[in-house]
Amino acid sequence: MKSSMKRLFTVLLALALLISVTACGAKPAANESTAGDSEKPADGFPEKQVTIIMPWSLGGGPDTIARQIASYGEKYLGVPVIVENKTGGAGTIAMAAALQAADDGYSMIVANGPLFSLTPSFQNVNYSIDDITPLIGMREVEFVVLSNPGKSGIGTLDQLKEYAASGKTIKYATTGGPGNDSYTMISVLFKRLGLQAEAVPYDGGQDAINALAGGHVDIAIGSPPVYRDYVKSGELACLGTFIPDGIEVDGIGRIPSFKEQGIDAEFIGMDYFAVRSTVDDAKKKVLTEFIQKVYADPEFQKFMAEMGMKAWDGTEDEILQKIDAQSTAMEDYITLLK
Amino acid sequence: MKLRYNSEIISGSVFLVAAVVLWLLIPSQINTLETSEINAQTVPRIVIGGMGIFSFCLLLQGLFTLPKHEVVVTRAALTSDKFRKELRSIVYAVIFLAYLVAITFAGFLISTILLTVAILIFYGARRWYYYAIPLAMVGIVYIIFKMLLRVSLP
Amino acid sequence: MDLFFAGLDTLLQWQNFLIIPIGLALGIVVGAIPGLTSDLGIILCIPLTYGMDPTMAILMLLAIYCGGTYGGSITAILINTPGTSANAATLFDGYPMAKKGEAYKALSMALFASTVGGLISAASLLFLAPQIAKITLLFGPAEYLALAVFGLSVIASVSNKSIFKGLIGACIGIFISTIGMDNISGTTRFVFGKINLMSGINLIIALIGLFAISEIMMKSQYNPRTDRKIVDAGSITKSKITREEYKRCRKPIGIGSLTGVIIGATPGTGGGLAAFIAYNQVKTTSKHPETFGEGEIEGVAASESANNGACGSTLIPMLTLGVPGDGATAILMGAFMIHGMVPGPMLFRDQGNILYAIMIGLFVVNVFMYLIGSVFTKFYAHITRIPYEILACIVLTFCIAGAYSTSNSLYDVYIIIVVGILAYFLRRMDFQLVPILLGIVLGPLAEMNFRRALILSDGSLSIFITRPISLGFLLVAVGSVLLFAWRNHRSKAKALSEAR
Repeated sequence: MKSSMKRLFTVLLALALLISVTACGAKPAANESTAGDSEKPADGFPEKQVTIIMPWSLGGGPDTIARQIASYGEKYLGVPVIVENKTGGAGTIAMAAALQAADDGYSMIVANGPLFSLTPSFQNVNYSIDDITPLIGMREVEFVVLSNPGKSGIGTLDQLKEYAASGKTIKYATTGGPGNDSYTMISVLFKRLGLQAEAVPYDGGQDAINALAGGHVDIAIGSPPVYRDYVKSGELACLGTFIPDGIEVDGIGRIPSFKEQGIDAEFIGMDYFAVRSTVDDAKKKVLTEFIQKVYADPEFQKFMAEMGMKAWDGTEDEILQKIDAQSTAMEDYITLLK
Repeated sequence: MKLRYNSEIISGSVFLVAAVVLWLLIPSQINTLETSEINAQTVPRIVIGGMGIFSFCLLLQGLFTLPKHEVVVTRAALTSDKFRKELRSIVYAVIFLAYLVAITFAGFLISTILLTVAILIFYGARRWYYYAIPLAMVGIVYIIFKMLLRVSLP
Repeated sequence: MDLFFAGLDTLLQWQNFLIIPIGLALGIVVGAIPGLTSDLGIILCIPLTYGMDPTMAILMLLAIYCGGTYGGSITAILINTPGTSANAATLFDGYPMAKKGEAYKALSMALFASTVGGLISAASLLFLAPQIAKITLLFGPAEYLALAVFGLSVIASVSNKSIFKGLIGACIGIFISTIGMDNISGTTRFVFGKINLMSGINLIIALIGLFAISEIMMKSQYNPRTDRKIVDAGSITKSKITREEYKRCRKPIGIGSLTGVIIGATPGTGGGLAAFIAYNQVKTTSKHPETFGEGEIEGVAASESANNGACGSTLIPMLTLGVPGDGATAILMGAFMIHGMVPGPMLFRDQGNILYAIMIGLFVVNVFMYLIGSVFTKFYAHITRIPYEILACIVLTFCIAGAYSTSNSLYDVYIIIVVGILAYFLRRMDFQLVPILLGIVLGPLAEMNFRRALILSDGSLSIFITRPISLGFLLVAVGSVLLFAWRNHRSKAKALSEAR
């Protein structure tokens, strides 16, 4: 009796597993047929799953946005869209993978400015901006410099200067090593201020902010949504941002720029979607329109608002212009740091 | 010819050589712009140096304190059971390496089927279902990965 | 208290009780297959959760996580290959037990210890999260280095045959972990111009090569005609855990669960380290340390309670600070964000009822894990009856496919085979593989924090002994090595005098 009950339970379990397994196998197929009628463009692209190659780690800002966009694949593109993280090498590993993939339009990549404006000065890279075509922007990255007044007594730029004047070396947390945009910008800031300071590279934004919250470093650099809650609760203070016009953050108010405070250090980071430049123009258009449709979706907008982020629908020309301007600015910054 | 050895002598000398080679490679393999005393080379130097020191100790231990096996290299030794057993593991390693070549050119399905058959022959399997079960598994794994996990194996 | 009941209310829906067993079963299966980890299980199921409400989605993923951490012990016990890195410490005694014909007993103890560890961990998450989070923030680079050193001190007790071989192993492991891009300086190390090596050697790839492939190689001298033992079906499940053994395992499970909770709550560490430290503590404080490594049930209890003990508490830094405790929680964090919950200090205030539902749900997950696990255990125990040549082929197929899938690259397949062959020769030279694994796991933690700490202290080593937590860990590490060395010396002296 006992053993037969157990056997029954096992069979039920196996059945449940099987159902779950077939359900996930069948789901894309079902959706494909419904979406197929209205959304499929004339040339039949896309016919199979599209992959977004993601150079940054799981759970970070760009990854979260890309995964959210991917979840609309079946709705607006008619095929599943998946995100594949190929992290490491400051994004160069993902770039290499994207350029090795076929130019059939089924592989997109998320890229940023520093991959072209900064990384080549620190590593031998085997790509150039001509290898890719930016499709559409994803977000603008607003780097903010933060301090922990409760631990170090630094709450403003002046207090920072006083702190340094007392003979102490300022230790600042960055989200990566040399060749990383946050590392470069905050180092430029201290060079421009003429203060004695040393960088402590951490693994990513959250790590850096926690080192600051724990009082292990004096200053840290952060980007949304990572620092927002700490500033809201008054635990951390914002010293300024690299965005030249300053930024307005929900629940915090206006954060002034360093430019406004008389320091020449400006930087607007950005992430964007791109494909290999040899992909068909018609296919590029389909993919761009897909992301535009997602940006217009109210559900998506609600998600982004809750996360305290904004999608940025910059066009190809805008993106290329920015990379160009950034490259010139970075040249100065890199010589300053060396 | 007579050989006296133990595992300490063999592994100690192998790692001593490896450590020296790696140590010499450090400057060419780690180009750091850092000027500080503690930099990207520090920890590799510590562990490679440590590997060298510890393998030297192991070598000394093997040479002077531990018992050694003695092997007389003769024609008879080459056909002995012990030698045959060693040969088996080398054949096994060769099968694996051949597999790597195969998977590069023939893809997962064909090369893994060949690997499975090779291993079963290696073990001298005779019954048909000894072949059927693992071969079916290769197919099942291929399908599971392709359909459910959306990983297209090469 | 209101939030607690609101959470309970959110939890008590029949869908949740359906999804948890499904998640667990999936987790146990992926965890038990070498090369597939609970990380992969979670990644694959995230898209399935898009349509679910947040509580249900997160509970399913948590079930995969807990199930996977337990499931990895099954392969560790049965085929001497840890299914995930968290189960590596289970090898010490789990596989020897299986060789003695006590596979079923070992599997049952792994399940029991995992469940108890999981429940204690869930309790710590529910009742102590804010307090533990405060302690976590105290951990700076110096403390992390000390913790890594503490973890590495385990090498002393696992390489009792030859300390030099253990130390060489650790050096090899740390060396492997330095390959690739160095995050602090931005330069590459030992990549020999290969772009594939830039992201370093993935832990799970190293694990498959070191343990699974080398284990298959070790059996190259196995002869099916003479070495095969015929085991009849009835005897497999005969050896059950006795009352006395349950009693004996109380202390190991206690130590294991607590170690799991503490180590798990420290970001960047995870269940694997917890299991090693717990195993080491139980072994050094045991009255009969010599039985460990020979199939001691207390060893299985310690390591399995520790890795599942970490499962709940890794969520503490993730939920309160937004720092994932290990790889799987990093992915879980991504899932939280997809469902509109941003981990961090405000999460408890903004989404309290969902969080409470999840935290209470974790108890349910662990109870279900015990029920499902007991059914699975019976089946899995029979794996030992499969002829080895068939098992080897099946395990190889999974390893190769799993290795390929970690980053869709043939490169990883090359690495597992090459590492496996090298590891085989090391084993033939009487090297232990665990120090190598410890080196790979703890190398980056130790190195990064060593360098950060020295930047913070302007190059002075005093930072490691002037900070109390750091000093404490270092003292315990030195203490446990000394205690072990002394015991070892005494038992050798005793053996010598007895021989005379």
